[in-house]
Amino acid sequence: MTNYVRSFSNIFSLDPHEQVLLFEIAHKMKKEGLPELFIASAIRIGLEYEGVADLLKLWNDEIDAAEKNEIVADIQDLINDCLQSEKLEYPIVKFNDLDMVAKDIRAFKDNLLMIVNERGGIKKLAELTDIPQPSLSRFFNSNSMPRRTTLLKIAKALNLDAVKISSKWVR
Amino acid sequence: MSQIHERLVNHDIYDINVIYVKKDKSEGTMGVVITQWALDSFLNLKVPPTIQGIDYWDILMPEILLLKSFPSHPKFNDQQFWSNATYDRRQIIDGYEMRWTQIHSNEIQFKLLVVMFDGIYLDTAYIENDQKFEKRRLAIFKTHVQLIRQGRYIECGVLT
Repeated sequence: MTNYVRSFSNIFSLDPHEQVLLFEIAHKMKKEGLPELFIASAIRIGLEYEGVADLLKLWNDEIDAAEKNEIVADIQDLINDCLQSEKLEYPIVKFNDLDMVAKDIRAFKDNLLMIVNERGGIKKLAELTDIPQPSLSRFFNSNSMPRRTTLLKIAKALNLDAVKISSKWVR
Repeated sequence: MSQIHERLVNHDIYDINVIYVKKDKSEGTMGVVITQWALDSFLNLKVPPTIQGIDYWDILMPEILLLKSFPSHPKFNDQQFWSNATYDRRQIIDGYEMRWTQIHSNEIQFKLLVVMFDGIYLDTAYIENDQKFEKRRLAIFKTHVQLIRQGRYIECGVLT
């Protein structure tokens, strides 16, 4: 089974022309000021995952700045997803509890955003963490469960103690 | 409260007043895995105009549960309800879409992306928006399908 999964997952491969295109997109991203860590990670997984390559090409073709930002945030989400190397199982959340969970997450992120704003805002945080600004904006605006890796980067950048980044809804 | 809602909420055996329930291996049907992507999308749907509890219990849940007996139910022959997911008119292998258009008097169209590989996995649920949004969602979905095939996902429960 494992062999089957592995061989199946390796079917996708970009042709040389498209591979070169991704590197051209990387150069364009650099010119537009996106963090190098983000660009390098995006291209690396873009060579392996067709959907990421598609997003990179969408970014390349897009002229609307807001839409480009959304694509950057999408790619960063997938970079984080690809960091996971195995299946994880988390506790069950009841549908009837989703409202409460969403409110908890909202309150946690709002409190953290207040601290971020006191320390220079999201733009400054993006510089300190190498996380693209659109991705941080989505992080603070959405009700998605925060990732531990993102919280740790924020804590490190702003020198926050563990209490400030502790939430029971962390993945 | 509809009969289905009452049955789902109140039946002692099913105890299914939850979206995420433990897998019962004694059942002959397939469990439906709730991924973290599905959970996050439901959390983000908690912003209007969106899916309310009544929509969930009366409309969505009974039809999501049909996945357990896929493909025998006739609903899976209805192309408006169930179809292959596509990106740029190319089929996403193992990727499918469930669509609902009768929510809030047709004011919103709701979509749930589903992966069928060695099991059934619920991916992102969202309200259909503009074409650019839709295209991004499907590019992301392609990646999720690949990650699920590789066993790299978070399981937040199984619908039984």
